[in-house]
Amino acid sequence: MKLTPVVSLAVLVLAPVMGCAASNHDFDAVVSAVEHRYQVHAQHVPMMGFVSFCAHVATVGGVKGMRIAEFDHFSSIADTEELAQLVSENLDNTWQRFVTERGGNNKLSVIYVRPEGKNIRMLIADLDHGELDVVRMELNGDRLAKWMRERHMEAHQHSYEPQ
Amino acid sequence: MKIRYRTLLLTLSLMTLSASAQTPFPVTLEKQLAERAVNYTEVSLDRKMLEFASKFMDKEHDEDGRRIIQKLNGVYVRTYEFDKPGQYTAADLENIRRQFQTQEWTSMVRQRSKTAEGDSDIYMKLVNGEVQGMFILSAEPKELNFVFISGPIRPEDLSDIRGNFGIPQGNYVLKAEKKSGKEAKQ
Repeated sequence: MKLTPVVSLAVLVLAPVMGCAASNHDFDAVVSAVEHRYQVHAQHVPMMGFVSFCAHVATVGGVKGMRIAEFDHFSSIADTEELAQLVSENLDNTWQRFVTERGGNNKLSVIYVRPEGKNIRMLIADLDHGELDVVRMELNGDRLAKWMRERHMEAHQHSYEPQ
Repeated sequence: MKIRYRTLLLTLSLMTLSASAQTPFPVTLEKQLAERAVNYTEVSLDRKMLEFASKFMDKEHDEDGRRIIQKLNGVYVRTYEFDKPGQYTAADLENIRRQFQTQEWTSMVRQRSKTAEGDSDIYMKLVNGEVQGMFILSAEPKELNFVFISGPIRPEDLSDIRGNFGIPQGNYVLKAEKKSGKEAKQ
């Protein structure tokens, strides 16, 4: 079965869009499930697209596709385990639980990751002091590591500069 | 014949998927311990995540650590902190230890204190005479730590990777190194 040039072109054009939609789907599913379960609404982060673009440029492609949902006054939660479960249920089995940290005073951090080629897609849900943040981003390990090394070297050079 | 081939392929894909969905961390009491703990931390890194994480290790200073990490299949760390002693029992620990009392696992370090102030165990998984895994259990009255490393690792490698990936800087590393040193001399 050969793909016609038109179909091939359509696949090439649509694939990134479909990929983006699929990645948004996981984030949206988690945010929507939290809103529905706890009867809360995520705060709108102004100019999120621009922030994401800046992160992408600043880290030279190390971080991209950043999305944040912020829930203030998230005091309606009695059981952090239930929240962890809710996040887990709304991510498909391509996501792996990377870190879970639960502490006193209703503190919870869960980090899920999904390897995508050389990149890692990361979803973080962090509950602290009655505020829940859900963050999704895509990390390019090579670029991010290079960017971090450069920052580290810069800091090192500055600390040795004569006063 | 074609259908059989496709069925076989489908079965293989499903088996791979279900295998990857299972957590390879071997301790079965995770959930109960997490419920009793006031603070708990779980870190799970499979081969892909280790490969990703190793990119952030210092190329000059952590070269040995990077080399070790790149060969591993996974690193799994569990830390439980309790508000008072008695949140886990000796029977709980024995249940966990029993999971490593099989032919392929060898007890390397076994430390017991009369006051139960700090018990620790280190088990090695030996396959064809080579270490292919390590399990560390460290128990204190108000804290439990488990580290499970899957893949080729030597006790002396622990000092190069402790402090990374959630692996605690415990003195069990020194115990394992001393023990392996003694065995090498014998």
